This record gives sequence, structure tokens and C-alpha cells, in this order.
Amino acid sequence: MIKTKDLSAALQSLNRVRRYSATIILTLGIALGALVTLFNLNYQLLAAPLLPYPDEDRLYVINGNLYQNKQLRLANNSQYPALVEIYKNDTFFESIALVYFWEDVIRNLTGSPRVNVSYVSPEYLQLTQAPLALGRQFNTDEGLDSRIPVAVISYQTWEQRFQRSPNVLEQSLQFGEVDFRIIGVTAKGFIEPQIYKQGRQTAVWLPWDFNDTQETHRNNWRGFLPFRMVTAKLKAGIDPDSASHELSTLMDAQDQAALAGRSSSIERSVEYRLTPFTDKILGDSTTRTLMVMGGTLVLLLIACANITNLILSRAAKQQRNMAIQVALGAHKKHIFFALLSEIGLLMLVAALLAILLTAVSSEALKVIAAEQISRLQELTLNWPTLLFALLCALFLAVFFATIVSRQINYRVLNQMLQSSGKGYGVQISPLIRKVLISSQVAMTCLLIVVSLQIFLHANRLINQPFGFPLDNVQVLTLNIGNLRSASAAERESYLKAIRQRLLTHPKVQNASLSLNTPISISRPLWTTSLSQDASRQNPVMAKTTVIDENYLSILGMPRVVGRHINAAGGGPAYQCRRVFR
Amino acid sequence: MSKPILHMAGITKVFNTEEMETHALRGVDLSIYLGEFVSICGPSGCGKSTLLSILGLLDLPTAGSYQIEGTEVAQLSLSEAATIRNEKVGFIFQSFNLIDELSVYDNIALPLRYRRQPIPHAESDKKLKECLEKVGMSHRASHKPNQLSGGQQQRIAIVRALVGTPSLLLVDEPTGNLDSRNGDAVMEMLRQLNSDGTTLCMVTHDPRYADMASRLLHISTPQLVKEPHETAL
Ligand SMILES: Nc1ncnc2c1ncn2[C@@H]1O[C@H](COP(=O)(O)OP(=O)(O)OP(=O)(O)O)[C@@H](O)[C@H]1O
Ligand SMILES: [Mg+2]
Repeated sequence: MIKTKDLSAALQSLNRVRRYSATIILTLGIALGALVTLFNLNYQLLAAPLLPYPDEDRLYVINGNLYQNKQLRLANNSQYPALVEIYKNDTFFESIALVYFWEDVIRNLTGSPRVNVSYVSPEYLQLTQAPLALGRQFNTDEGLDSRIPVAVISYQTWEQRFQRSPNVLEQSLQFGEVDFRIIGVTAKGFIEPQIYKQGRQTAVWLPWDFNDTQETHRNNWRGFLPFRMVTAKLKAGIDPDSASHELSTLMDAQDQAALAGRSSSIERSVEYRLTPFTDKILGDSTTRTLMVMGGTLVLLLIACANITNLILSRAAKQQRNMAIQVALGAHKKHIFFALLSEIGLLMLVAALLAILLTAVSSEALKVIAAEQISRLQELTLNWPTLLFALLCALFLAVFFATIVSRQINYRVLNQMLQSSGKGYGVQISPLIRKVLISSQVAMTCLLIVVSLQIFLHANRLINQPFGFPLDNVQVLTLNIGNLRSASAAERESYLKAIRQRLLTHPKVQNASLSLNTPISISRPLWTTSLSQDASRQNPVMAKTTVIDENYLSILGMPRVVGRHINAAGGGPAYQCRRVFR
Repeated sequence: MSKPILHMAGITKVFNTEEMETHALRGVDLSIYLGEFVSICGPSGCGKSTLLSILGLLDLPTAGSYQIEGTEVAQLSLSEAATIRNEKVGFIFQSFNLIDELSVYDNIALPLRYRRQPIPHAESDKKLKECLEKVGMSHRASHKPNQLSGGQQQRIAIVRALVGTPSLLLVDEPTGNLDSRNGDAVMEMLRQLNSDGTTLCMVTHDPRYADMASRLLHISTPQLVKEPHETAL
């Protein structure tokens, strides 16, 4: 085995070749650091004790899916009344909550900040056992139909907006026309389950009653709405698939009843599926992180091919010393352990560097990739990661030492000892050299090809024409505040007045009112079922928005047929951009 | 004389290089007996060092039979050969072959490190210090070989060959790099060792030292002429 004598000798001899040592440590440390970072990340995502919530394996998200003629037409959109029905169903669930992820403006804070708001039933925060820094959670009295305006804010909001003032509990936040009294602040360590969108963090939780769904939609089975869902803890022993099935059957029956009397040739059905929290939270980020880990593995292999070359060259320089040792009776194993201690020291330092890099890059990831990768907030250096780094180092040390000792031809070492020094004991075989070089080239090519593919794809997306000129078009998002409760006619005249005011500005050429911008990420359009004939045959699901007569000309959107909507429109008119089937 | 500890019959060594074949040894027959002092001389390039390295199991003959204490050397595994080199043979090279990166002390400690039975540190330390003392090099223990003169390096090389108390000592030109005073001292040491029972096989160009041996072998040309004759003692 390795003796302390070997180690101190290795240390001394490495000290004489500092540049060689530094090259190996840096090359390997960085390559291994990349791999270990990704290992740490994937471990956190895939293997670490899954979620920090009690009974996480029984936590589910329930969303609606709409099928037409047995084909999925709309996923993850739910009927408002169905969600409330499910919420009230107590056969399958130990605990159940409604949640609606939205954003709104806090009107009574300076700057009227737009923040992420989640409308929840009181059970929502209890499901994840959200710890509190101050105050209390919602209680059952603040449940559905109580209309008690209270709010729980996140630690970050407390810090940002209230400088962690302890009398925050005496204050309130104004959304729309309502003042919500702050009753609690979640603790710093609370990790909100990101079941809706990666990286989205709620700033304020408000009672479900105050969500902005219009009254007409609240009892309407025809509308399928996004962002609203049910979260639930399944009773122990209940099979999620059969619960999904029974809930779907129940909701489908309700849906059929609500739609009774409408003649339609389309066979429609709704489904309410239980999706595990883990699936929702992880999304598809693990495929990506695993792919990147594959990339870092290739990087490490390239680094190893390089290092093998370096180590073999050094061994060639040390062959005289090895020959002397062999002449004095050193066995193969002595030479091997001497090599191993030298290489092992280098690998150990490289592994420590890799661990350091992992710690640093994990923190960096939290800042730059929070929206691409789930559960980043929780990311820490795991024990298995440390073990992984050290095992990698050990494996590589043994691997390199074996390669080098296999290259030593013990039969001819003697020739090194004669004064003339004829011949060489360590000769890097031409085959090995060829393999090293061609494998480096091959792996580098692979990396280049893959990253080029990714780059070209991204480039295509980025440079894809929008289809209309956007150079001088600006978007103004209006917070309609207290107009929310006004009648449609009142709202319209108010918006038109705002438009007129805008037009008076010399730099404004034209302005249009619309519900959405053409390319919008945060607020998808709503979806309507259209059909070409009165019999409602072959409907199409079309993204829909509401616009005025100026919208299309501002965007210069081309018409395929017909004319633009005009101001005199009056009755319902549709403008189809193009329908893809 | 007692039984031979080394026995060579028809030993041939051919070096194959790209351009040519070099016949370094042709049909050597040689027996060395326990406690003998054999000296080998001959012109440069006649194969003296080659013969010595075959004797010391550092190289294998191309043809012929070589037995060491009755065992056919060709049949030894690498590690058996290493053990014999470590425990039975001491080698003093023409070019010292000290490891420049190690201190004098660490250089001479090498043979003990490769022992099958590990030697306790205190014991080996005592022995190494005694040996250095004997050649008057104690004060240089922590120096590196390249900080020493040729004669001093030669003494260290001798100490390294001796610390393992070998029964056979193979010496290649021990005085080649030394002045006559140092040369005499080295020879005196070797003679003393031989009279203490170590079998000695020495290559030398110097007829004065060759004559100190109990038997003189002469290799005359690259074609070996073997004509061992007893020197008058
Ligand atoms: N590894 C080798 N490859 C090719 N030829 C070799 C090798 N080793 C020795 N020889 C050749 O074998 C012959 C014998 O060499 P060797 O070193 O044994 O001579 P020597 O008698 O010790 O000479 P010197 O007195 O100069 O030390 C020489 O011709 C030498 O060139
Ligand atoms: Mg020679």
C-alpha cells in the first residue's frame, strides 16, 4: 500500500515540477468541477430526499384537460366550478386547497409594484407546512365565501417592502379596491413548491374569494381557465390513478349536465388528473440537466486524454529513476504505488478544487438559471456529491497510475542504467498516442457539433421574424384597479379616454386597445372553439383576444381575405389571423 | 572450492537495434563460487557491463543457461527476480546511478524499503547511519547526490549496495572516476568485504586492482575468448 514515505517523496518531486502539477490540477479541477456541479444538481433533482414537504409522495396537483372526439384539445386548463367541486369533495383527500397564480399591483406602496400574487384557500400553506417568521397563516374562518381581506406575505416581500419591520402586522396592502390586512410573514427558509412555473415566487398570498375571475365564469362549465388548480394530499392508501379516474367521471357527468340541451356533433369529455408534486416541480428540467451532465462528462474525458499525455511524458522523463529502483529490487507494486501517490496527490487537490468550484457555481446557478431549472433555491453541496468528487479522483488516480505502469517495460529498464543510457524503458506506444489524440479530436468534435446544434436552434428562435414590424411599437400595460368592478361600458369609455389622451402626445402616431399583445409570455391568450359551419362540425381551438380597429394596422398584420374590423363593428366580429390545423 | 553460487553456460547476448545486431556476448561459460573475488577485464565495448547486468538479473541473455543458486534465471518471474536483486545482490554501477531527487539518506534507504519483510524504522535508521559513518559521509546525509563530488557519490553508491547485506556484490569500474588515493580506499573496503565473506565480482581496467582478485577473467574482443585463469595468490 501507499506509505507515508511514498507520499512525502511524491510531494517533494511534485514540488520540483510545479508547472506540470498546476497544469494537471487546473485542467482536471475545472473539468471535474463542471461534472461535479452537474452531479450535485442532478442529485438534488433526482435523488435527494425529494421535496421538503411532509408526505410529499402524497401531494398532487389537479388540473383539467379537455378532450374533443377523444383528442386532447386543451391541457392544464380547468373549469372554475369543477375546481370548487373537487375542493369540496372529501372522499380521496386528507387535505385539499385551491390556488390561482396571478400577479397584481400593490396600490398603496410607493411605485405601485407589480408582484406575484397567489389566491389560495386556507389549506394551501398548511399543505406544505409553510413556516412563519411572523404572525399566522390563514385559518378556516378565512375560507371560501368568507370574504375576509387578509394577506400573508413572503419573507422577501417583508424584507424588500417593509425593511423587516416588526409592525408589518399592523399594516395592509391594497389590491384593486380592497385593503388586505397583513396577518403573517413566511419564514426565510420556506421553499414554495413551484408547481406552476419554475422560479416563480409568490410575494403575497390572498384569500381565494378575491381572485379576479369574473362572476360569469365562476359558475360557467364552458370556460377553461389557466393558472387555477387544486393541490391536495391524498389519503394514505388511495391509488392516485383511480382517484383521477373517479374525479374525472364525476366532473364529466357535471359537465355533461351543464351542457345539456346544446346540440353538438362533437363528443366532448373532461378529465381531472392528479399529477404528483414532484412531476410538476421537476418538469422537464432533469432531461436538460442530465444532458448537460453528459456534456461535462465528455469534457472530463477530453481533459483526461490530455492529462494521460502529460503524465506519460513525465514518466518517460523519470524512467531512469524507475530503472534504478527496479535494479535495487523494487517490485512492480512499489513502482505502481509510488506513481499512485504522486498522481493521487494531484487528483486529490484537483478534486478539492472541483468541490470549491461546485460550491461557487451552484450559487451562480441560483442567480442565473432560477427560471430554467427547478428547485435551485434548495441547492446545496450534498454529501453524496463530496463522495462522488473524491471517488472520481480516486478512480482517475488508479486509472492514470495503471496506464503509466503498463507502459513501463521492466525487461529493458536495465538499459537506462548503463553509462551510455541506450534505449528507453517507458515508451509511449504509437498506438496509445494515436488513440489519445483521435479520442480527443472525436470528443471535441462531438461537443462542438452538439453545441452548434443548440446554438443554431436558439439562433433560429431569436432571429425568427415576428411577421410584423415592431420597431416603433410600444406596449403599455394598464392596471385597471378600481375599474375592475365597473360595468363593461364604463370600462370601455374609460379606456377609450386613455387612448385619446395618449394620441395627444406628439410622439404617438396611433394607439390601440387590446387585451393582449401578439407575442406575450406571461399572459397567454384565451382559447375559443371555432367552427366553420352552424352545425359546429370540425371545430378548431383558436387562441383568441379582444382588439379594437387600430390594432392590426399598428402591427401591420397582413390580411389573407376580407377586411379589417372597423369602428362601426357593433355586433360580434371575428378576425382570423390564420388557422392552422 | 565449494559449490558455485552462479553458473553460466553458453550465454549469448545480442542487442537488436534498428540498424544492426550487436553481439555483446558470445557463448560465455562461467561459474562463480561462494566467497570468491572475481575480476573481469577487457577492452571497452567487449561486453563487461552486459555480463554484469545479466549476472545481476538486470537483463536476460539471448541464449544460454544461467543458474543462480541452482535456479534457472529464465524461469524467474519479474517479482522473484526483483526479490533476489533486493536481498541477495548488491550492484555498484559504473555511473553510480543515484537518484538526484532523493537525499543521500533516502538513496541508501531504497534497498531496505523494498524488503519483503518490512524493517522497523529504528532498526533501518541505525543501520543506515552506521553505514554512512563507515564511509565518513554522515555529515552529508541530507545532501542531494549532485551536491557531492564523484568520489563521494561513489562511496554513497557503495553504501547503497551494502545496506542490504548482499551475498553477491557486482561492481562495475568502482575506481574509474576516482583518484588513486580514493581508489585505494574503495578497493580496500571491497577487499575487506570479501574477506568478511561477500562474493565479489568486479569489472576493472586497472591491472593493480584486478590483481587483488582471487580469479581474473579476461574478455578480449567482442568475440568472447574465455580463458579464466587463477592468479597467483
Ligand atoms: N542496449 C543496447 N543496445 C544496443 N547495443 C548495446 C546495448 N548495450 C550494450 N550494447 C553494445 O554491446 C557492446 C557491449 O557493451 P558493454 O556496455 O557491455 O561494454 P563494456 O565492456 O562495459 O564497455 P566499457 O568498458 O566501455 O564500459 C557494445 O558494443 C555496446 O555498444
Ligand atoms: Mg561498461
